[in-house]
Amino acid sequence: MGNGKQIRGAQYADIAIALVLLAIGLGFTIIAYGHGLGSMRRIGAGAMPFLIGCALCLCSLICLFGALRSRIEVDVSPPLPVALVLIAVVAWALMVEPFGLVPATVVLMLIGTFAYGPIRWVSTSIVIAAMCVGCVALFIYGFRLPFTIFGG
Amino acid sequence: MDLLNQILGGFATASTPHNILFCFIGVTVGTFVGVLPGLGPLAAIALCLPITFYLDPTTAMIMLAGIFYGAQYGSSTASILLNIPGTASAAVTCLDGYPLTQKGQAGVALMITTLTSFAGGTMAIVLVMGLAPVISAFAMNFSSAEYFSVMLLGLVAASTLSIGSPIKGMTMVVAGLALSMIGTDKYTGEFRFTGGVLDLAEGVSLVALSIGLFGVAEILSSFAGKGPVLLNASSVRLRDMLPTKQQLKQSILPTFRGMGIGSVIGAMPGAGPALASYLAYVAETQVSKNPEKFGTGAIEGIAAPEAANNASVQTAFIPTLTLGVPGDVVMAVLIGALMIHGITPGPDFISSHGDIFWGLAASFWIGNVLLLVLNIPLIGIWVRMLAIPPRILYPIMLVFVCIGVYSIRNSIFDVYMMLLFGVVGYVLALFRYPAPPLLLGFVLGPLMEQHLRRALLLGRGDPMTFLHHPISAIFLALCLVLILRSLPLGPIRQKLRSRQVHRVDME
Amino acid sequence: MKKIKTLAAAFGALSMAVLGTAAHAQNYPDRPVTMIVPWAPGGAADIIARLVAEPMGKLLGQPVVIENRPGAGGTVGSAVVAKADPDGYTILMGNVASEAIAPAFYADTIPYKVLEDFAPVTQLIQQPSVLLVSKDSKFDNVKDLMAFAKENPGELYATPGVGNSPYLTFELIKDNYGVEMENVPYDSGAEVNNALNAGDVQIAINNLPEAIKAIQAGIAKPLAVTAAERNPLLPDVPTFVESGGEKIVAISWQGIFAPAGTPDAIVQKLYEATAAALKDENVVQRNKELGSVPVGSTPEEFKAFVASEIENWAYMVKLAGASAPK
Repeated sequence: MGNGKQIRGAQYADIAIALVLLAIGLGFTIIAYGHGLGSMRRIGAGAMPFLIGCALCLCSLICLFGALRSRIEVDVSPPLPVALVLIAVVAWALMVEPFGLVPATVVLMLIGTFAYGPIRWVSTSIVIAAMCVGCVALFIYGFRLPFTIFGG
Repeated sequence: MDLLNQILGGFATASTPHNILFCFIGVTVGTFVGVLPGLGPLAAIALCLPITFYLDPTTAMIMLAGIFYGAQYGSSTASILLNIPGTASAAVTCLDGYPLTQKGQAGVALMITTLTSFAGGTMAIVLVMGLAPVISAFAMNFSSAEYFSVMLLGLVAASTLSIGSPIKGMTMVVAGLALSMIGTDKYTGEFRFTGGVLDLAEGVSLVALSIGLFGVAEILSSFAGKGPVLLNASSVRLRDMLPTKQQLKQSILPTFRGMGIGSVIGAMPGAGPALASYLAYVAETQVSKNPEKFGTGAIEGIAAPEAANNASVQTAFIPTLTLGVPGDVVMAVLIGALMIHGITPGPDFISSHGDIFWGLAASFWIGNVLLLVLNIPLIGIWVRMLAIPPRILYPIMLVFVCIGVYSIRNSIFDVYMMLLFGVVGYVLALFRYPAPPLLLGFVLGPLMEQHLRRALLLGRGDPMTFLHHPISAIFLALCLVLILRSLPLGPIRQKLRSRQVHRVDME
Repeated sequence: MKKIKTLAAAFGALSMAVLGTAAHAQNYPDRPVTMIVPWAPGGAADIIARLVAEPMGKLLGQPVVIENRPGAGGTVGSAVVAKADPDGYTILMGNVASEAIAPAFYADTIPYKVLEDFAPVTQLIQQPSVLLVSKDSKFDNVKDLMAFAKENPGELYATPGVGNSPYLTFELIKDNYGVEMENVPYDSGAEVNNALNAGDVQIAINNLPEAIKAIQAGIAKPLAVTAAERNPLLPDVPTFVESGGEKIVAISWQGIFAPAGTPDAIVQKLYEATAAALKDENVVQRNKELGSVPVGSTPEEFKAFVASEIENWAYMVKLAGASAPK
């Protein structure tokens, strides 16, 4: 199946997800209880979350049994491009306020394009330049979003 | 007769060249912000608000409302083509819209949504015009018990979405409810589940959640398997965008049902287009003779929710204008726009500002026609986007979603949240946990809690209050029906179905 | 760190005072002034901001541009102005929620101190809250209602949400009359009116503009207003002070702030422009429709007012027993 590969531990991962959901459900229920359940007439800040937490525990338990019994096949993406996409967005988030929209966009697009294989410099440069001009025109001058172009 | 005169007067107001021009500006701006994932109508309306200061109030409302429903039209585009919904209601359109794109039928899907959006919207307008006072009285009679019950129905419906395992769907509804509890408690002012993070005081951003779970997750999974849909640019011809007669026929009844559901939900302030879309979608899976085709590109699966959310957007103007209760932030801004002109919406709005009301209602109709004319040629352009290779298209989309998510509350924190939900959504999708039910749980959670608390308070602590209100009791009965239909029969049906599949394989 | 910043600010202010104030103030403003509204467009603060911005801009000779920076109960936008350059080109449309109640609610978590980080310019308007009962209620005055509530603890009353000025004012009412009543919070003033109309609740408190709508539509009767004086829109409705609630004076207000360290001459210029804008024909008319009483206090008066407001609301927040966890 393409360039993705089936992970061998898929069933374990499925079980792990159910366990994580169960842990979240338990934690949620306990914190909710701490907010107070209140009375039937004036239910407390914790009442609805408490019910939700209990339901989440129950649901994740059933999912856990399901995961224990059945096999699942998954088609995962290779880790490097996934990591690159995540890094690209983090870079944008780190840069946009101090350095401005244009540098942040350039860096995001460079890393993001690299995630899809070697960069073809000519076409990529054109696309990035067009995006920068377009975004500045549309979002800064058009929608007046509070971005700076080059920081400051 | 009086009514007819008022409607004619409304059309006379709405069809002056001046008003048609601003209506056109509104729906055009709306379509484009709707297409850009995450940006949404709010930014555009906020931008245009100062301009309306210098306009006549009717013209101002015509333009702002045009942005609002225009965006509803546009929001289905990114969902269908790229699986990136900007709103909770557009997430429903992803369910069958994106599979259609994967099958190479993106043009058909967009054409169907444009037509059903138009049909749903225009039929709802007839309701708005004919039944405004009735709808207003209907909305008035809804108290917290009814709201709670109809939202419960929405959640039950969402968890029985017949895609994948029902228990995983239910788990996602509950997870969405849990996420929605993060933030400040409206009754006590307590911070709940924020872990001391001030950015979470107002809760998780819906747009960050929705873009993350769908859009970012889609981009992350695009590296695996067969990869993203690629289109041969030369194949985009008008002929390929026209639905077949069969497909058109298939979408007629769902459009009517969706319009009906959407109109009712729209009249209830706060419930919003998301609930309308989900209920319409689930209603289709319930009445369909072969529900297993949903999620694989069923025409009904895009026709009904699109008709529903556009209908609900139109009828939503009634509670907004006659009760002064905005259904969402965008409606609140529209009320503000009226108040800038010294007009306060309220029970006497139709009688004291009839010219504005009827002019606006007529402009809805004109606006929907303009949208139809505007959107059909655009379909070809949108579909061509798929011809852009992923190494160019996806980085561009990443920039747009970052800007969109950031712009909602000028928050870098929300961009990180989007990324977190992207990873979560990617993992969940790998293991067949469906994301749309989570989104509905998230949207309805706070409303349900609030109405539950208020209903119990008003009912002096008696839980039977939910059965004493007749409409509420009907909704609860429907919940029970849905549960009974899905629970004991579900596994058996699945077994039968798999046996059938086997048989087909054997042959 | 904080000290260094204060020190730097002090130096900055000093050098500016010595070197540039006169020239700056004389030329001020030579470019558009940005007025930050820390609330969403279309809200009460936004409406008054847009109303006065136009005549203000005409008087200053430069346009006053509105920028909405909503979030976290008005504190996000307020923080932006608190940190802005004190040159008079970034000013704030502050109000009771973000500049008086929020400091009491979120004392240590909001990123500004109102009295230290702002130079108050002027109070634009004030509005009381109104105590309402449904149209067929047997009560016609505050005294009877409170006597009944005292004998029947647990009566329900509606508020337009938790933490806002009507909500906190009702805490003051309960405290003052020694009654126990239960709050049913709604999402907006319009919803409170609808609840009264539908008969879900019989008693409510609401902001004046919303209350006026309910009264005009005949779905509610006003019993008292929470200002020190009667409101011109409701001349027949007594104040609480007249009704045996001497301590019940609580109003909501909107006012303009500049960042601390803004030269006095510029603050004065802004004050004069705003005060004049309040007398603009259109503004007067709109304020009347909205039920707002124009104030136009001097910077000194406004500063003293804000200081007393922070104390008043802190007391009410304490009564409500609600405070954000640290």
